[in-house]
Amino acid sequence: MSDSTTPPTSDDLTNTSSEVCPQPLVVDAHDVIKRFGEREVLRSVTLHVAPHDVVSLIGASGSGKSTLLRCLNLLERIDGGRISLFGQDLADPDVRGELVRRHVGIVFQAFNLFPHKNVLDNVTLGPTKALQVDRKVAEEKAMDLLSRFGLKDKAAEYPDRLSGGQQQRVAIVRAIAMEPELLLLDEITSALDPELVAEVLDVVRELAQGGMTMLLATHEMNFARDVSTKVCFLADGEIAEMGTPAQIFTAPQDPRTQQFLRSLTAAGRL
Amino acid sequence: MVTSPHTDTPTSATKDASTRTLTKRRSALWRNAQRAPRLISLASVALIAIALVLTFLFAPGAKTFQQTFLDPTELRETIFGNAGKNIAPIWGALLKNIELFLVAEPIILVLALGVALVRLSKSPLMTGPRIIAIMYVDVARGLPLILVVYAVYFGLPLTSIPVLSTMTYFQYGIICLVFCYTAYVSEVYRAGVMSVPNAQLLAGRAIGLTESQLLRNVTVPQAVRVVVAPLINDFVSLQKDTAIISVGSGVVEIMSQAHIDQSIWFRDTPFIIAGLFFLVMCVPLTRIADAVLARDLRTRLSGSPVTPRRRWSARASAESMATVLQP
Repeated sequence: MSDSTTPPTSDDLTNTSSEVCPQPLVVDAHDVIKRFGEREVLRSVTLHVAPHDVVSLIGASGSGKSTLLRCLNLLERIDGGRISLFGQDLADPDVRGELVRRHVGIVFQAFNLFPHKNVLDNVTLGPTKALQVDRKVAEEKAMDLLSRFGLKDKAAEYPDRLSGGQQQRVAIVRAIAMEPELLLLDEITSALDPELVAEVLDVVRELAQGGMTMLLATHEMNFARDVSTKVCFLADGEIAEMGTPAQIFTAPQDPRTQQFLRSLTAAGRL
Repeated sequence: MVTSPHTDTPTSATKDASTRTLTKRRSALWRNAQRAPRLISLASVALIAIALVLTFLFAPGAKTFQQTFLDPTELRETIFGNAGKNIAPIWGALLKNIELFLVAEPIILVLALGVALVRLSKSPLMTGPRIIAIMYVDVARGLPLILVVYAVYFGLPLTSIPVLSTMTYFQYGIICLVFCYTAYVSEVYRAGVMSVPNAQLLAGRAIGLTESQLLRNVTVPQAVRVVVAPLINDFVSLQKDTAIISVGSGVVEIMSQAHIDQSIWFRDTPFIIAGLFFLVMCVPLTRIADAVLARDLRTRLSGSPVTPRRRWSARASAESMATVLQP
C-alpha cells in the first residue's frame, strides 16, 4: 500500500533515542494490563505482529479488542506490561503520542470524520499539519487515493452527504494518507448497514494484498478467516487462543473459543 | 418484504380506481391544509392588534397615561434637545452607551477566552490559576452588576491603589462591565469547546495532530458554530446593562440623561424614549441571534455546515415529501 515499506526507526518516535533494531516486530506487546477504574479490561495480553501481518482480533463485545487497539497507538495508557512498536518501548518517557500516531493509523467504528471539513480536507489535514507536507502535494496524493477507492467525485462533499460505506472508506483513506506502517481497524463495519459492508471490506482486502500491516478488531468472521494471517480470540481480558485462521475456525482448542464459535454458528454468522 | 396486516389485497382494477379517488381527496386535503394556517394566523394578528389599539385609546386612565409617558413636546425635546431650556439631546447620551459597549466588548471577548482556556486546561501546573478562574467566575456571576458598580465607583477612589483609585468615570464603567461579563462569556466559550464530541478529538489525535493543532483545526472550528448565538445574546445583554452604569454617576449615558430630563417635567416621557432607543439597538441583534440559532440547529441536525447546496437539498427533500403525499 504505502510506498515506504521501511519501518520507521526508533528515532522517528522519540526524536532522541538512537537504538535501532535490524528486523523488529511491528508490535511486540507483553503482559499488557489496562484498567478503567476498578474494571480490568486487559488482564494479560501478549501479542506479536510481524511486518505485513494481518491479525484479526475476535471475541465477544467488551472483551477488550478496541481497548487493546487504542493502547497500541497511545490513545490509552497501559497500567502494566510492555508494548514495543518497531522495537521502540512505548513506556519510554521520550515517546510522544502524536509521533507514534503518525506511524500508526486507526479507523474507528463510527468513522469520526470531521463534519466541518469536506472529504478532501478530511484526508489532507493529517499530512499537511502533522507531517508538514506541502498542501499541493498532499491534495494530489489524496485525490489519487480517493480515486483508487472510487471516491474521486466525492472530494468536495461534506461527510453527512455520504453513505455510511462511503464515509468509512473516506476514513480509511484519511488514515492511509499518513502512510502508516501499521493500520488499526476498530470494528469498522459494525456501524454499517449490511449492504454497505462489502465495499468497505474490499478496501481492506486491497490494503492487505498491498502488504499493509494490519490489526483489526472485527465481528466479520468470514472476512477474518479470509484475509488474516493470524487470528486472536480475546476473552476475559487475555488472548485465549491464537493461530492461523484454519486452526482457530476449524479446530479451536480453548473451550471459550469453541463456545464463542458455536454461538456464532447458531446465529448464522459463520 | 413487509406486508401490511390491515389491507386485504383487492384485485388490481378496483385497487387502481380506489387509489385514484384517494389520491384526489388527499391532494385536496393537502391544498386546504396549506391554505388554512395562513388565514388563522392573519385573524389572530388582527384580533390582537385591535384589542391593543382599543385599550390604548379607551381604557380608563388612557389620557393620563398618554400625558405621563407620551407628551408630544417632551418627546421632541427629549430626542432633539432644547438649548433654551438647557436640555441636551438624548441621542448624544446614547453615544456614550454605544462607546461603553464598543470598548468593553473586545476586552471581554479576549479576557473571557483566557479565562475559558485556563478553566479547560488539564495540566497540573495550571491548578492554581484554574482554582482562581473558577472562583472568579462564581463570584462575578453571582454579584448583581449594580452592586459591582457601587463597589467600583464609590469604593475604588477611596483606596490609594496607584492606578485604580484615580481612573476616569468612563474607565470605572468599563471595569464594571468587563468584570461581570467576562465571566458569562468565558462560560459560553467553555460550553462551546465542551460540546465538541470526544470522538472528534480521538479522530484528530489519530492522525497525529498535536494538542494545539487539534485545538486549532478540530475543536475551535466546531465550537465556534455552537458559540455564536449565545455570544450575541450576551452582546444584547451587555448593551442594555450599559444603562446600569448611570447609578455610578459621572458618565452621562442615556439613563442619566433621561433622569435629568425627567426632573425638568416630572413626567416619564424621557424613559420611554430611552427605552425605544435601546429597542432599536437590541432588537436587530436578537433577531440575528435567533437566525443564527435556527441555522445552528439545522446544522446540528444535519451534521454539516449549511451551504447553498444544503439549502437546495432541503428543498429537494421537501419536494420528494410532496410527491409522497401526492402520488
